Amino acid sequence: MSEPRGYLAIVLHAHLPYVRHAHGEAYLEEKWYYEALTETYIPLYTMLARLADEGVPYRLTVSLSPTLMSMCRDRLLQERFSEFIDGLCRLAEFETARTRWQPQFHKTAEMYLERFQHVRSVYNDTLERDVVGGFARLAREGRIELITSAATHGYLPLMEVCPSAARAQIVAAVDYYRRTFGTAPRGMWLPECGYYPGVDAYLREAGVRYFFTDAHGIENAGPRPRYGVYAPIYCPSGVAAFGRDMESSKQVWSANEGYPGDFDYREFYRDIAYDLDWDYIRPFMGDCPARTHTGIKYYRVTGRTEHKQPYVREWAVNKAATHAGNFVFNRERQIEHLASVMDTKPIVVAPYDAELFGHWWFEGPEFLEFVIRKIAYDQKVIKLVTPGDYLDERTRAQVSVPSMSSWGYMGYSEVWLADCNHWIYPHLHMMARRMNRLADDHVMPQPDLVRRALNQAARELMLAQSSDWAFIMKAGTCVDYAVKRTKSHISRFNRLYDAICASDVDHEWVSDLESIDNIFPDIDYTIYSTSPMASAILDT
Amino acid sequence: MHDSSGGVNACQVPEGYGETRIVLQVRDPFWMHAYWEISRETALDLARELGESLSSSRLTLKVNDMTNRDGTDSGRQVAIDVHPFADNWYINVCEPDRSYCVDLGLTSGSDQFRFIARSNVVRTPRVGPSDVRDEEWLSIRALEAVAHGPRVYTASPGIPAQGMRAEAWAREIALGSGGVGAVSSPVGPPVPTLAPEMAGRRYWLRADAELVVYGATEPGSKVSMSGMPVKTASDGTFSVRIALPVGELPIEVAAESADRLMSRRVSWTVTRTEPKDCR
Repeated sequence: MSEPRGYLAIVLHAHLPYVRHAHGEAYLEEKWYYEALTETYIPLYTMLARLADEGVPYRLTVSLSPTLMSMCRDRLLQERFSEFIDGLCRLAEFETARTRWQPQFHKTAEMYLERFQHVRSVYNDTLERDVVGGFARLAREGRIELITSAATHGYLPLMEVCPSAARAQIVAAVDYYRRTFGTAPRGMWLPECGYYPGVDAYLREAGVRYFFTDAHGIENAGPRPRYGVYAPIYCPSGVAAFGRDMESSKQVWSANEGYPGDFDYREFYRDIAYDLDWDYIRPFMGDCPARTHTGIKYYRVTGRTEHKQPYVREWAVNKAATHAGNFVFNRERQIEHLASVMDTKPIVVAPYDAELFGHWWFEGPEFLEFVIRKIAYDQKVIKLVTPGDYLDERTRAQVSVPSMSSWGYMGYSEVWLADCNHWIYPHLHMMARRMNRLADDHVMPQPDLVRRALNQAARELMLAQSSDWAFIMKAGTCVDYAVKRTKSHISRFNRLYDAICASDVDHEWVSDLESIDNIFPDIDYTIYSTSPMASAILDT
Repeated sequence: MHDSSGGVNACQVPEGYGETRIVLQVRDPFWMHAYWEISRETALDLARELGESLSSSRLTLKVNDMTNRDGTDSGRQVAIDVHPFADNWYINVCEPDRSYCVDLGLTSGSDQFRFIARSNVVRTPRVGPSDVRDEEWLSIRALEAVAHGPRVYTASPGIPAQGMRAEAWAREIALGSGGVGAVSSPVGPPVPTLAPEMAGRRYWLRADAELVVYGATEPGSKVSMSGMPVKTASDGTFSVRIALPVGELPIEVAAESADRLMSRRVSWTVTRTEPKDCR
């Protein structure tokens, strides 16, 4: 292959908050996870594994958040997903019968049945329920660079006032990754791309080589980066920052100008759950008292109309191929242009939420597959790389401090700090200070029960910090759940704090909490210690 | 489960933590957010100290510009009187890329300021590219060999450029680019197909009919409906739900015994006419 003119790094960030509800309650929110497995994670894995098996060369970066990995590895959720996908297959079977004399829907119904059965067999047989292991295999085979995000996806810029909390989010994430895969992640996806100057020092401390910011995080860095977002900069701490390319983002993300809004693609909102008889649908809603998505949708976007037309799979797949061609063509022109004005090879970084592909944009995985194939066989301008590959090839870099930024609305913190959610910060910050105090006052070794209570306090703090809760409060759907989750973690933490301070820890209570909020079994509360001695011990 | 006061499902959130303090956070280049708590002890002290004049005092935030290189007060200060019962406030600052801290206090009728607490210092982000163009290039090996441990940055001073960099399209992705909030956001029923407008009022009706074909035969039999195999339950009962198209639909249910020696058929025709929208 001739030398490429530049590089493209596609980054898929997969994340869901920890929505495991041990006590049998049929939480609607647990379905987020099952839907994402069915529509995104397993189809993406299947697609990437197929390309690997066919020998198609590619490099892709996949970020799996620690909360998502924890759910994927949780026995209870594995069992429940297995039941979920069985139910979905059953519903799809009913649907193939029900649509027997509706030729406009019948083929689509058969497609769903086939897909769900395939997801079920990949999950149970190929992956033996170990989705994380599947991605790890792709990483070992040199196909993907597997990175991670902050422990519970805490939004770091709003932890700047209690830096030990930001540090703990990073250190705990790297520790979890290391326990899972045996090595430290090379890169980290900062939740919501949220960066503030200084947080990179903790990445450095944890052994992470690079992270990402939104475009203006790099464009507004100081001193001014010579190549803008088309080359990484190095923070003075020695960690590289890659900036998001707006052009490639916009084509995929934008609801209006982007590909996913094309009229031939599947319409997301028109689900049979809302169209069919309740008695028929009900058995597939779990115990949810209301209609929620089933994932079976028979219509295409059609246009800006309420009169949706039936989905035609062939048209949609053809459109995905066309869009992939357009995407690659645009990247070629973009990179040729950049290469002509830069004295080094440009890198275009295109990060996306993984859930966009398959869940929101049904044909997204097909689009990605076409993009990968076209880059492999139909052009010579671009090479797919991971940020780690790129850094390995470089010898010099510009030193500059990125600007505080996020990829949320307007580019800063106003999604997570607004009238509807700012009430959480006095609690989150005080909890972090209390956690510092606890860690400083309880140098190891401690009696087993106290140590467990301290570790549980750290879990409750981290679970309360998930950026998702503030986001949901702002977005306005499922607000009650987000408020309830936040309050319950605040409440559990403070009760643990009081009990530990009063040397009155109740065994049964701690055991209960350990089984309910069971994330990060190996968490070590001393990551919250503010004494340099303790940190030093932890490092060794 | 434990008792409701402290059970695992309790959701009690403290109203305060009994500590007098004020915390400042950056929202974006032009807005900061401060929240504070005045403990009972502090409140009592203030009441004792200020006596009568407490009731005529205003709760005030003094926003201090701390951009001096040595981190000291540059002397530029803005006072904002806030609602007496407020415990947080969004503060608008005209100039980005500066350092600020906020003093919380009471301003008396005679404009005397009684200090209560000082916040942390924050730095707002710059808007637009940095004016500092002196580039520093280092070898990656040297950079990655930097000693461990947090380090303090001194951000480069610069005159802000005009205009926000966050582009208009960011609005579109705004609430969609985050994590999961997005996955499975519940939506209501689909917008109806028949929606006659009457004096600005929208009223709608959606109606459809389906067909349930059901029956029973000897357990273990093979059942089909118009050629399509139908699953039977262990007791030999079966039920199939089908969409009902417009026109004539001949249905033939056939059963064959497990030993394939016996069979029976039942058939009929269902007719559905075009639906009419009768206003």
